[in-house]
Amino acid sequence: MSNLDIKTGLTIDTINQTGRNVVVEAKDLRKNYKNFQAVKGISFQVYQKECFGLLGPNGAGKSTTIRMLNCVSPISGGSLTVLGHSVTGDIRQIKAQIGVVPQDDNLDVDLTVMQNLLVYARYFNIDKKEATRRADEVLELFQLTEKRNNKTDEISGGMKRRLVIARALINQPKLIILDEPTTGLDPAARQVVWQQLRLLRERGVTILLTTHYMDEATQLCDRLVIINEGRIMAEGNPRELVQRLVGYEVIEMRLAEKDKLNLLPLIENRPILLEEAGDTLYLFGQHNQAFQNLTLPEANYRLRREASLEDVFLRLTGRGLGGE
Amino acid sequence: MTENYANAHTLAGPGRGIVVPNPFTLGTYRVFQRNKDVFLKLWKTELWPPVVEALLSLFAFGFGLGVYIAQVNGQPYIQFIGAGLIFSSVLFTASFECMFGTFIRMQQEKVFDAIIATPVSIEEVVSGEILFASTRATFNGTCVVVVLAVLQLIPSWWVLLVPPVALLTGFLLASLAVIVTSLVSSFTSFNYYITLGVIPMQLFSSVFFPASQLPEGVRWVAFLSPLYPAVELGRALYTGNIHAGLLLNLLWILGLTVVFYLLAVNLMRRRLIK
Repeated sequence: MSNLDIKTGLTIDTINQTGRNVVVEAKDLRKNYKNFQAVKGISFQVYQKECFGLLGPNGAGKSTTIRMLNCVSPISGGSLTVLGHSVTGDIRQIKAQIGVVPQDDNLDVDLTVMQNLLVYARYFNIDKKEATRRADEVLELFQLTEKRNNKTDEISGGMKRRLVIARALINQPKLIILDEPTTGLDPAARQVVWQQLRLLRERGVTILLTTHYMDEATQLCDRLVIINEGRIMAEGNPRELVQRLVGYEVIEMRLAEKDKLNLLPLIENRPILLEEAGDTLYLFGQHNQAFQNLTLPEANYRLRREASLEDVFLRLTGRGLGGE
Repeated sequence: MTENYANAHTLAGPGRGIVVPNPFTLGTYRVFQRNKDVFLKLWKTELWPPVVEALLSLFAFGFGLGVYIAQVNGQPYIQFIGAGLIFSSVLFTASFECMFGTFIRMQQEKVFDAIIATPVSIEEVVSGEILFASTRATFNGTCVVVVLAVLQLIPSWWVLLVPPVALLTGFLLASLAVIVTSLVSSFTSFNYYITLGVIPMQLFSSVFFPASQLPEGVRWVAFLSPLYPAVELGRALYTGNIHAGLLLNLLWILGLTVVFYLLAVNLMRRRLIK
């Protein structure tokens, strides 16, 4: 299915080889600042109605990529197409059709919840009657109806976050772009936001988000790319990525120096990969019976668990996502 | 939906280079409306000060100082200072709105970031800020006119042209303040502009005394002040002392306005588009 743009006569959506509509396409996208290159040539596609993630540690180039997508930061090289329009072309066309959820809540603190939505709708030239109808609808959807006449500094952090997401829906966007949607929220509030985002995806909204939380990416994303230092390290479905690059199970442990040497012969002939990050050793079991009958040396700390995206990141970069 | 926006911005999007924006677009008006809506929510604290300030200043200068100064250039001092105070009010309102107001919205409340994520462009945000500040300045300046009228201190019907001049002057001074705001990293830096820009403009632009009274060596200070031609033009309209020379004042104000506006928009772009 492709919508016909009447003005230009061109089809808005390009269709890729797999037959899915491409909503966002980055090709060798680059961003240079004065002293460094924040994005070093990344390529990816976002398909219609999926939830796509940009996963990476702080400083990986996620927010820079998002700013280019939102048409507020010029690209330095390559190409970037959003909803069929190049970000170097008619960006009002793009901005009119996307919903943007920034990293920081930038609500109008002097206005009420409802007024925030109405003033925002006005930037899209939505008339007041229609704006009120849509505002009521999104407030209902995000369970904020009760707070409609409260000022935004009177509502909780989780509610503010939901209001920012609700605000991004006021122009009925085809694509919603979220930069770290749950950073700074408590676990309960994060769950609520995740629930809302899943609901949006069910309604057919294409979602593109960034996160440095593994669990968030696993919970929400159909597909994702892992970014580190401005480059894409891997791409795929979260589960498939974990199985392909890490395996099934992981043992993490901290050993005394002398015991480390004893460890190698023990795992030598098994489908196990060994990775060391900081003071911790990681054993990645690439087969579901990789750890069977394995006797490991005494350790101060040992944990056996399921493999996760965090391990993918660790294997790809040799360091954890949380920080240095 | 977006078709409603005038396609005046050839470089509405991110990009480098100098832009020459159209200050009168629907997007500019949307930003103006946003500021107006917030302002009117606070009307209880925002609307009465200009009236009271006008009364206090007229009382202090007119009935206090005015006792010692009977006439200036053949004009009663209270009328002379009255015309000056209109534009002093414009100066302060426009400057402070586009220093502190703009800085808070840009840096602390991140209002600009929210707006430029919509079809409204950064040029329109800056233009809306300037338009709102100049409207506020005109309102405050007009409050002084109204107070003067109530005190029966208006000598001429030409005074009706004072508000449009105030609007233009507000646009000029707001643009100048935006230039300052685009360069500072914190509030405290505004002190430089207030002490070295706003206050000297108020003191040496014929608000309180004719610039011709200044010693010859420093008289050029007044002629450098963008407020000076506005005060001269405004006072002539207020008194009904109309002559062809006023056109030069008007042209000078217009020219400065264009230059400062273009600088303001482009410097803000440079600051915000990275």
